[in-house]
Amino acid sequence: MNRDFIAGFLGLLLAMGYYAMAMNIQNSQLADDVGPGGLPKIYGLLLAGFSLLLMLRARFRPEPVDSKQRAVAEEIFAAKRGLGILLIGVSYILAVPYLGYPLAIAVVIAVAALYNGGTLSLRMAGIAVLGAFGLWFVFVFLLHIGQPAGIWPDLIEGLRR
Amino acid sequence: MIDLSGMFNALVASPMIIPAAFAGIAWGILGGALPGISPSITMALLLPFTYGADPTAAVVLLASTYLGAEYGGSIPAILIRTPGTNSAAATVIDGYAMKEQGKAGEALGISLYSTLLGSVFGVALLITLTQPLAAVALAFQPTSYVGLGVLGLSVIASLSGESLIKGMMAGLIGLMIATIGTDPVTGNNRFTFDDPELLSGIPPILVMVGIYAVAELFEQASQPGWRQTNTADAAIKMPDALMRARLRVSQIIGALIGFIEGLTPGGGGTIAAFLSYNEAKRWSKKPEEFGHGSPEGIAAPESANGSVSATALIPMMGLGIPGSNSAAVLLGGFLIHGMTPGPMLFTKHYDVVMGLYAGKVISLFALLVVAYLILRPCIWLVNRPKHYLMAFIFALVLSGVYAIHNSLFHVGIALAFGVIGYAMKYYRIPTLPMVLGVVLGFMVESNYRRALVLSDGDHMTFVEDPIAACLLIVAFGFILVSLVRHFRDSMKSDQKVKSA
Repeated sequence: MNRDFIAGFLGLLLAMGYYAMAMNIQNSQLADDVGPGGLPKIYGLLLAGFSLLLMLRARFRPEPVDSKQRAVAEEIFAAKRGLGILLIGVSYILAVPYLGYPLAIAVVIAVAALYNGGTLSLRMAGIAVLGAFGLWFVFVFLLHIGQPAGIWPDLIEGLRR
Repeated sequence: MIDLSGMFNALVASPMIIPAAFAGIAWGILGGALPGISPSITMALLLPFTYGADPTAAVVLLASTYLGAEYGGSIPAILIRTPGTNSAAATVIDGYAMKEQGKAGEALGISLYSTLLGSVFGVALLITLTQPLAAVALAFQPTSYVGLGVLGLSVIASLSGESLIKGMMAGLIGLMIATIGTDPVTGNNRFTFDDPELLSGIPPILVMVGIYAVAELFEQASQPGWRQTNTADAAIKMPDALMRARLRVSQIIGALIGFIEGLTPGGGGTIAAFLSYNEAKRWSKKPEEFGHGSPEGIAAPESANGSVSATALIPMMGLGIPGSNSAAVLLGGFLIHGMTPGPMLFTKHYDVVMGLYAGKVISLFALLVVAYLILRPCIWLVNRPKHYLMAFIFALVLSGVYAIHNSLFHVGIALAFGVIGYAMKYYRIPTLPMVLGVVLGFMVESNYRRALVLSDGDHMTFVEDPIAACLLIVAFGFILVSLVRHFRDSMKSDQKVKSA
């Protein structure tokens, strides 16, 4: 089973799920002839059609030669490495409402650098703190764009009382 | 006709254009010089910062970044034999050979001089050609916009790379993403899963940051670090009169090919660079020097890159159709400021267009100045450990995406599109058709349905409007030509596989 077949299969699943949801879109009294679900249904059907075509082509036609294609083991290794970066990002989303922006982003810089091949050291900690300060300075101080403050304002307020 | 007073007025009204042009060039050179960080990624990283900025300064910043990145890519290509951008790959051949001969400064000078000349040519064409292209704006009706949208979507056929089917799938997925949110006619919720954050749909900027920047960060996590260089022999030396005369033909070839490729959907800098390298070799008096440190081997691709960075904006601004990733990101910059590129841009936001033209002219001067000043910081940056650079870019993405709407949900969406972009790369599905679908989906659907409401559901309305009819005919012609080309290419590919 080559990649194109799997891509076609995934496309077909997406098309089926999307079409099922498009069927359930409520029509309104104000609806025009096409309606809110009209084009989505067509998109779903077309995607299903193209996905099936891709699967058929993959079944009967050899995979094109790609000189840049990596070996399966290399692909798995690359995907795992990418997954690690994704997990760091997801952890940031979960943690930043509690840790606050400066601390969370400093941790992201340190952990991502470590994950990308850096070694844990005081220098790394310094760079993470400096990087976080730089980003905080640009976004919060210069551009006045609020970033999550975390639990710290409430905690400090509680301690004051 | 070139409206010089309009450009001057825009400059007076938005003086931030000048620092934006300089900052864009500086950021572009730095981003372009980092291997793996393409011009579109460099621009996508900037998008969140432009959100609160003056719209004219914002688009000038992005357009200047594009030019800066095209030049920046040649710096590591010459110094460490690693192209900073795909389009600088052709420069590696003779650029690094010149560096090995102790002529790194000359190579950098030829690269800068040629990029600059190519850009001057491209900017002149941008200013001259875009407005006539958009002159039909006043006659546009909903039916015409449908024709324009279909023409834009027909471009998918030529952006599909090796497989038309995959290109169409990507385009359809983009159209599906564009249906998320409130229905443009009835106001019904579609695919929102009762989440209020999805009511206004998925902003195209999140799709672009995700599939360009985040997906590349996932990819870079498994890539080895790049080479390092010393700064001793790296000082730009501009070519003398004799050398300038020698480079003239190759620069003209590069600028012309860059112009054609900039206009062609899916063309872009990489194809232009290699085509012009090849043509420059064919027309050169010393073709035997190519591959062994020929100055013309640097001049032709760099001139093409400079030209593309301006001419790629012609179809994007005139018709609202981005033909390359970088043009798509610039289009995103217009969209986040509530401006839709296309014919109406010239009537609704004429001042912004004039400001962009003025900014492009200033960016040419900025390139000349900043290139000298930033070379050493650039080399310093390239010599930093890759893990710190990647970590900082990731932190920048997370911070920037949050800053757009102060939403962690949007950060999650950008990460999700990173995964989608990574998967599309794995399955060799082109990403640009998806971006095109996301950008054009809403316009096509809303105008299609509005046109049908106005005509009591009669589809003949699209044929009766001469503009729509013309655009639809061009679109179908475009699809037909692409189909024939794809069919021919796949036959060749099949024969290759069989013979292998």
